[in-house]
Amino acid sequence: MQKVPRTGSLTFAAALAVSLLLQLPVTARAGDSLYGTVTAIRQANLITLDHGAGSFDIRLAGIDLPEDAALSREADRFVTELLLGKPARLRFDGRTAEGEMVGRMYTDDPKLGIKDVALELVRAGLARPSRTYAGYKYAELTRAAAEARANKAGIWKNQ
Amino acid sequence: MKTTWSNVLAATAAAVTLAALALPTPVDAQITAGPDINLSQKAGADSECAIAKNPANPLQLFASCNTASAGLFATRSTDGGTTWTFPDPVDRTIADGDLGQGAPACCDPTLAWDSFGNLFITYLAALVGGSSPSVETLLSTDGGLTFTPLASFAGSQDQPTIVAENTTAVGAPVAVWIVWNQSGQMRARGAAVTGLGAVGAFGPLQTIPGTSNCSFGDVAIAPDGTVVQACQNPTGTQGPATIRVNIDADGLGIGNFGAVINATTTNVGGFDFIPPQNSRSVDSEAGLAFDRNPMSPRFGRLYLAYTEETAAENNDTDIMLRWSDDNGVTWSAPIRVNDDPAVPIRSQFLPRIATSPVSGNITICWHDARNSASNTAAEVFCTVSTPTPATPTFIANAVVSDGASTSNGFGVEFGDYAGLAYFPGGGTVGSPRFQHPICGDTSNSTGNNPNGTANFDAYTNWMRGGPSVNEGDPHIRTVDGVHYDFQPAGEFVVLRSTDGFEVQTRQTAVPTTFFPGPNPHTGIASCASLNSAVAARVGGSRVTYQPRLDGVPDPTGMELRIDGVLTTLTSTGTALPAGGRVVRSAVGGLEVEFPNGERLVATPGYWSSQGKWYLNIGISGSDALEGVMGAIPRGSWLPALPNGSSLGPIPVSLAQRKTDLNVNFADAWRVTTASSLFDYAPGQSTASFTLTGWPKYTAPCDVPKQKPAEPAAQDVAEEACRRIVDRNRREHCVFDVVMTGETGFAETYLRTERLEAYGTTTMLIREPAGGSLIFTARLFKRAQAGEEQPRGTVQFFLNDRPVGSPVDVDSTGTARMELTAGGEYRMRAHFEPDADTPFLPSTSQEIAHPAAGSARIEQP
Repeated sequence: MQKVPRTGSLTFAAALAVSLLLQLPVTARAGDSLYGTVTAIRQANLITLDHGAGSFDIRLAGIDLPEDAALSREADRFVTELLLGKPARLRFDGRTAEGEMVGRMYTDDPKLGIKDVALELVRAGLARPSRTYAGYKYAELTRAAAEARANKAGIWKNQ
Repeated sequence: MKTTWSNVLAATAAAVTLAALALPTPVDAQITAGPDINLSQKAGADSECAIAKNPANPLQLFASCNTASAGLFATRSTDGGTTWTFPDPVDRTIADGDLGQGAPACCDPTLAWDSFGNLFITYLAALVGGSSPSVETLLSTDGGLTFTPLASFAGSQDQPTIVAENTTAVGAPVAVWIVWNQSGQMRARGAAVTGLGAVGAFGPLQTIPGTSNCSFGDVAIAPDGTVVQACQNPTGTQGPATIRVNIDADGLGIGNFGAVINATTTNVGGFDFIPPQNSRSVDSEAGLAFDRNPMSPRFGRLYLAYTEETAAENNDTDIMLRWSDDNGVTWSAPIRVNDDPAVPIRSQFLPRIATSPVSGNITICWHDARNSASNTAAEVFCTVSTPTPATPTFIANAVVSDGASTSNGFGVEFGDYAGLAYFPGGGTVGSPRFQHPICGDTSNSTGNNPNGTANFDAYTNWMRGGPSVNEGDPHIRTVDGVHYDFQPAGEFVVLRSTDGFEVQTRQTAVPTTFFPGPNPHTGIASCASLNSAVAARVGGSRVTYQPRLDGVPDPTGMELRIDGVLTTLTSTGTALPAGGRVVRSAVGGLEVEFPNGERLVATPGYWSSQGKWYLNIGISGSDALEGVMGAIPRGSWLPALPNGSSLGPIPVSLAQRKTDLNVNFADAWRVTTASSLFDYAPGQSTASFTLTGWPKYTAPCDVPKQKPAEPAAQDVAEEACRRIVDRNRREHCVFDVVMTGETGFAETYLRTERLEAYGTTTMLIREPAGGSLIFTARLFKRAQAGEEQPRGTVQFFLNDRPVGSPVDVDSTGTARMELTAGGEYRMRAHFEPDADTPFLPSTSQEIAHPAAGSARIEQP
């Protein structure tokens, strides 16, 4: 399976705008789950999941990608390694007015274990927690960002 | 002026015409719902709620929901759902990282409460602090106050469901099962429960065959321990999909679930976007429930409720029901549960099914946008069917929520499921509680959602059966609110359920010179009869209220018998062995308080010129749907027949109507020698009171060896009845007085109405407090309407003697008495209203400890 070529990188501001546009004030992570195989990484936060009876492009909830092109590409690579061609699980937040499916993606691979992809991106310094998303009830993203910052990882490298 | 036959006929001609043309429809639902209660009152979204009622103590309820903050929202009630408190009052959540409240929760709470009193709380754990996701289960043995971890199943999981039920399987008086989806397939584990806190180890993980890409379902345990799970495949589309079931025939035995069985197809996919839930989407939400009442004719039947769409993606989603009499191997054709018209298109979704293990009745509740022009605002609707008919016949759908909720994309909108508990218990006598639905709500009907209408709070209420009456010349108001006259002579089953609850009445032909006009509902004009006796099965006891058995007119009163023993009817009442009480009503007459809280009221009147007693009969709070006062199936004009079948639409032919009502229907519900609950004089039986050929359809309304009554003038009747408030009852009164000439009917109706409007119920509650006992008398007015609250005093009685002085009832309707504890005692409380209030006195049921005996409580 091939990674889908990126069509353009989001600046941080653009990512924030998209995030605001997409914002689903999700506060209780209920989530119908959908299991499947990741068939494409369109961007680090836009993932194609084949669920057996079709596929969805899933926008990862709760994160903003870096505006730096190199870091953005690194984020893509990071997610590709985690997910592409592998079993994964979507916990669905909802569909935006524009029809985009938003949720959390989890690895579901025996070798990798179960990881929250957005959380791993933040922990690796390859994404920031979205300020408009309140879906992580235990401040997981905030803690992961603090960890990344302490490790001077990714976007925190020079800070 | 004497009323004549001809002018009454003329006056009612128009009504006859209308009745003949119109298909009668119920005017009220059988379901009476309490006011909405906002349980959570938290900022942010609270939705996807579960609720459970303790079968070992039905005053206890527990509810849990997804919530915006850490953990799960959790609340409990110890008074049948009237008031709610929180196991953690600080943050109203459990499983939020606080010590002793379980691993931090993500979401998806599911609850089960077994007959030992074990409360199971299962949920998805959160992926925090490097932890692995898991399905966590907590156990509470104190009614949801404290919790201990019971089980943790690791994996990539979704949508767990827990169920705990009694079984006849060896070694598993109760079985508890958890099913969930893990990495795309359904998994299950079960354990035996042998007592309170005695939960065995969960068996090995079972991967359920054929459930790849199958989720969003349910699990149920059959009375014999068989386990059936349902799920929907595929999960990721907008449909069509198939609802699959698997059967584990040996329950907790070593065998796995069997091969998958396709129960039904549905056009509702796993992610099906409909206007009222356009962001989150809905799935078909398959729900399972067994008939667990051994007395039910459908004992062991398995019901499957789900959502269907009349055409893929047309948003016309309906709630459907299928059933299986072989534990899920084969399934019936579907029936549509919601009764809104096919056009315009409106969405019904998130069904929840529950059966009462006591009555076997089936309740289904769901979200329903039928009243929303934009098909976006949903109310909670419910309906009920008895298990008796081969095909369930649901009563008219009833709205049970106080407001309509629009999701507006908040949170996960209404979420993926709602909750429903169904078990009798709680409330007061005459106003018991059976069903308890729960769901996310944005209507803010209670005015205390911190987000107003801008986000979801967890709402519940309680439900019970509607009141029904059988008064005068038998004017029936069915449990679903239809008025019709029923004039045959003999003894009839007027209301029953499959848990043994049953009320029978005796109707006696009334000879009159007057021939009345037709009944608006049936269009039939006939001679009339009167209720002259009533009998009831109360727990294991038989209670009768009849005139003297030898037939000699006795104006001093009717006779009460309990299990055939002549018993004095007193205002303090006679407790029945299996629970319940027989007590003299505040307006004279009989009140029977059933163990589950139903109340039968029989208000007698004596017609001196005829030497006859007659009765106005009212039944409130019953879960029963069958009998002459029973529910009218959809599309029928009369209540169902004893086998549950329907008589169908009202016949155009008047002759056919007479045959259907007074022969076919009447004979079907006629008491037999074997089924009679009445007492008889030697040599008599129920047949002695059957008058074949009654009612007559032409004058004269003569009865052999009886002098016919002369009618009263219309204006006389209207004057006699003018103080009756209820319009239907006033019309019935006028009818009865005109026909019989007996103005005493009006007085009996007034007494009946006064009891309804101003009757009170006194509940006595005992609470230990250190070395003392606090007895709290709580006062309730029977009528829901009206702002005025009863005022007066409560006199406590210890072993039948007054203790202390009368205590003023406070503004909350409460009076208290504290006594030093010790020994055996019997305590009751009597409410005496202030003289300037219209309310009526009442006496509580007795609290005895440990049984009736001499008092050793020290009097203050």
